[in-house]
Amino acid sequence: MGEKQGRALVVGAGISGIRSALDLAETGCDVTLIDAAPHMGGVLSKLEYQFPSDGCGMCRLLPMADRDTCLQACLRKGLVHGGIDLMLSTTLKGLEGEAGKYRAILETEPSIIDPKLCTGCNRCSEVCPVTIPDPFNQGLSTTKAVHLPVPHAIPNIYTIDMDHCTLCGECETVCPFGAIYLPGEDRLELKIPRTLVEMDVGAVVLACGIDYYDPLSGVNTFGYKALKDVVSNIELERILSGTGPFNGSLKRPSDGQVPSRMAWIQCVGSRDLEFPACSSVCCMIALKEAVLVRKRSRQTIETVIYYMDMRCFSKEFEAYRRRAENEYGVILKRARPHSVRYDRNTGGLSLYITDDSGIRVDEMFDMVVLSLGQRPGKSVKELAEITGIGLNPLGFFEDPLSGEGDKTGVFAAGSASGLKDIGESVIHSSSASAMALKVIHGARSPHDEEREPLNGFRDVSTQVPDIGVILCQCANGPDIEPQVKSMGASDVHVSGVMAMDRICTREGWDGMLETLAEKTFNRILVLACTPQLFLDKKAAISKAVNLDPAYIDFADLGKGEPLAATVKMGLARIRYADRLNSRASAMVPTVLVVGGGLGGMTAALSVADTGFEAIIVEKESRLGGNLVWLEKDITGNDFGRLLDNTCRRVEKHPGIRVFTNAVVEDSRGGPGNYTTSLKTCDNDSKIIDHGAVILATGGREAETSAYGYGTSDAVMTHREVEQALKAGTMDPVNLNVVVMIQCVDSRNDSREYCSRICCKSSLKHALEMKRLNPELDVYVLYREMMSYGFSETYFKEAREKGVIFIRYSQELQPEVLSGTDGVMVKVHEPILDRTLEIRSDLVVLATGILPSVIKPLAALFDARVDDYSFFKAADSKWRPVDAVNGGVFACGLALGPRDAKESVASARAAAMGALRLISSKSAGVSLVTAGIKPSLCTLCERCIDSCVYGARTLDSDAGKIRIDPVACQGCGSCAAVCTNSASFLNNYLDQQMFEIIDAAI
Amino acid sequence: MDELLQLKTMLNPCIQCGTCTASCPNEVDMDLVPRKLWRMVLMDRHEAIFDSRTFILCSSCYLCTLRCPRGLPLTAAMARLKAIAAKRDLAKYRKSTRFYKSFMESVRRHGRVREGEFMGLYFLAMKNPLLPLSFASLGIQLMKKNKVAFELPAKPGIGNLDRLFKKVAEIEEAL
Repeated sequence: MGEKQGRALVVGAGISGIRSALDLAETGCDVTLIDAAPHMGGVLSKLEYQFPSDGCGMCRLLPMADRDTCLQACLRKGLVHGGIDLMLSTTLKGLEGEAGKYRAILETEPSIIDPKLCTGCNRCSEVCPVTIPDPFNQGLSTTKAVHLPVPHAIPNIYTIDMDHCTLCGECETVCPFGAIYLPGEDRLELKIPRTLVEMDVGAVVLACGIDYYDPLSGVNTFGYKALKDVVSNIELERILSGTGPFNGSLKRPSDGQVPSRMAWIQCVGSRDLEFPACSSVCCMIALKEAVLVRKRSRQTIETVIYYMDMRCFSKEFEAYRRRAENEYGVILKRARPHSVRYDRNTGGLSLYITDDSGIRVDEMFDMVVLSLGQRPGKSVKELAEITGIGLNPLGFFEDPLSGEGDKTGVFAAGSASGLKDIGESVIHSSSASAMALKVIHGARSPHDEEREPLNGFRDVSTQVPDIGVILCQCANGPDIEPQVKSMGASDVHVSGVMAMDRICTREGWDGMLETLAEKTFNRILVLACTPQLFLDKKAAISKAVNLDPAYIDFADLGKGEPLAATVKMGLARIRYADRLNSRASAMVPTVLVVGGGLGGMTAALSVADTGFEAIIVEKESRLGGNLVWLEKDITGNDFGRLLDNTCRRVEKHPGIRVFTNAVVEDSRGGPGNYTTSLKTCDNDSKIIDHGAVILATGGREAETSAYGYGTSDAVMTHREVEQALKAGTMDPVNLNVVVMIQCVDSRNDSREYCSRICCKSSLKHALEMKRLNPELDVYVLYREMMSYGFSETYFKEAREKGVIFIRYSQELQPEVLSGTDGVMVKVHEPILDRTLEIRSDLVVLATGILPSVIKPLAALFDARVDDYSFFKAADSKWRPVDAVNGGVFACGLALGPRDAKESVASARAAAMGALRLISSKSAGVSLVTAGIKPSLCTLCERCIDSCVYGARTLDSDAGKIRIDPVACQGCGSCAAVCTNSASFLNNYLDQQMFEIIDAAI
Repeated sequence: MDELLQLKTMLNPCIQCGTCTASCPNEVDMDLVPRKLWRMVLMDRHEAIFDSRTFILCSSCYLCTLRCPRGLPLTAAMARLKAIAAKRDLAKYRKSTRFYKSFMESVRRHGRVREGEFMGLYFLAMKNPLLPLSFASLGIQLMKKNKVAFELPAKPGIGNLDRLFKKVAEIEEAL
């Protein structure tokens, strides 16, 4: 155990686990990804639609560099990557050692169905006599005791629910592959020994996710399970899903009728006594579901969301809320129903609520959806004990602000440290993998050299195709050998068809390699079931026959595939298989970080800590950004110390170069290879080469002229209050009444987004002032308190300390009148329906966050800004910190409003993104990459406009279109727009596709 | 004012969600619905509070207390307001507060309520000679069915709850 380990263990194979595992695998680490469930995907395997696109986009997590190392298929089905070992039904049982040198004990549930033998033929399920509620559909439909845990998973391996299995043995007899071993002869002996594996790992990422509140655990006034039409939001997701209980049509569970009115009840199990925190994501989930229902029903189903505060706190959320209300007609009502009652006469569900006027109303619905809050995952506590990671008072993993100086090699990722939406989870997971990488870098895996690809294969690119077909046959499967042989005989390019006995077994596999080694085929087509899983075996075949893997392909003989079409399509595809001989130049192992605030410094440290070089460019004379004037955050983290520590580490780090008083002047190149010129203070130009760029340009508190700001000293902004409190020029003891006004110039038509941190700032200052002067009256005038997540506890604390919160609406804004003695604030109080006049000594304005101007800078690197002038991410959910072209990243306030902790996480995630790119070996070009035939090209440049990845440029000196093979993601847009077929997509050539289509029909 | 300050501290965590109002069976008759009343308490609108009849209409069904998402003791808060009104002997609530007092006085004396005595005590407390007349028709009906007997207020007898009442008074004093 003395050696530092290059392997990482990722616990939990949901979104966060997948992100972390891919991060680490792409940077060259070996990863073991485990999940307690018999399938991967976590909660996301059940969710089909994500806002803001109302679709899925999980495939955007797939690697962009070295794409061939990973199966390019829907990630909801499965993840197949050469560097990731996936172990399902496995839990972490013990961890010993120290960071970099852990020994992990993994326990795997005994598999009654052997995953190596099961082909997913469904015969066992057909004969199984036991019907159970389908856990995948939350019990809304039924399945058999032996069933597929997730219908779309690859590999499709059945599991047996041993709690319901009667051990009748039918499945065991019917299984053609002998994959099922039911326990013991006497059938009472259920204890099959669990397998324990010990493994040396360098770092552990815990991405075990969360659980949801169980309404049955409380008084259940909403009648969950007692009333059939009261469903949880996950159940509704299943109802809306195509693989759901009603095949995707929206029906209510009680009688299968289409509902005409649906209600969502927010904060079920959140923001209550037992759990004084906000679950952060339910508001957006409810909005998304309501929009989906409105879309599906062509706006015939009325949808009402009952909420306390509609927390649309992320950059694009407020716009989504507006669309939901204005375009789709989703009705939002601020009220808190306390119970759901069944109405005997109509069969409907009635809710008693009281609206702002105070009048009690009784509303009838056909279906009620409960937005269930979060609870710590069931394994969190055990994992905390095993790994020594701390828990917060609510039972989630602790999420320290900096984490520097900790000696641990165990990091929490994603929702395990508090519920997050997909975008935040992805950021947080990449942040965890960046920290894990810091621990294990340098001890890269011994397989590194094996992965050094593509040198010394025999050159077959000019040879006439000479195809060898391997047919995998099961003894019990249908005998298709004669058919395939006759198809092979009728194709002139096929020189041999060989039937093998089950290449999924070790003997079969070795037999195949031996047979192939004797032959000299220059193309090999393997016919087998679930060939997706053979991705990493391609390399083995390639080695055995000394052939570039580009010339080896698989065709799927799985269930339901028509044989003739499959074989002929496979032959047509392999005949044209080729690899472009263009070579990508090596990645420059340097990352340029623009901006030296907290985000920029953290990103640079994360890059440099893994052995690469980072260069910080800061336009001011000192590092620190906004941290310079901030004193502390709401949880009491001392920013002064954080700034000192971070600056000191940056200055001392040998891998970081800092240019202050410098700006970026110009840049050329693409992902992996940029050349950028900087202008330094003495008007010098400096040229640097770098592989990726991180924009950490930050933001600032917005200026305002509202509410008499600037005309009276008694009207200040939060920044001024923070500075005055820090400098000691303001003493709350001298104040009697303070009014804080939220959403100044924000969340209106001119600035749509919520700035997310102002509510926390107000709570922080209100609590701080109350602490210094308990007699002080503090009024907070708000539109929606965005105290999401664990900051809800401070909202509660502020109320308990006597801070008065008064809600105002966009239509009835407060007025501030400056007078001789202080200021008069007039505000309409909706509960009392009266206008209040508050004579106050101080008015504090929360003016929100504006980004620094980054549009010209982003344009230099071919990145864009969004409608609000923040950095535009490729996808707010799946690629939240990167630009479309994959070489530009952003973090901190440049990305959107966020607090210090979130900025640090985004900075690490951006660094991780850059590391993924620059640590790619990239000696060869991915198989599916665009190319160009200059002889046919008219230089019309349409392909350049069509390329979203910016991979195409016009080389006007040579009169040619150039393609950057690293940036190209093989989407095929260029091939589609080219009128002369000069642009083509390798392995998707026109002629090849025509022949494949011919073969298919 | 001290009692009201205490009440305010007790209700500080209120989030004005209105669950109390939506739960209240007597809400239709209240001039200030419970949610508004609590808002008034938090905003120190003492005149407005003691100008409304909300708390006196509370029938202590405890639904609001049961359902309050903040777990606030709202029924107890209503009772405190009632107690303050009784202590200050506010004219607006005399009908109710003296009714309660007379009832409890009879209970104290005999361990149970003696209807006749209770009525007598109430009429005496209200100091309105015409008041009995307004109850005349109900009274005659009840007497016909032997539900109420004429009884003059009597000295505490066997089964009186003096000790219990004393103890309660001590506890309340200590609060």
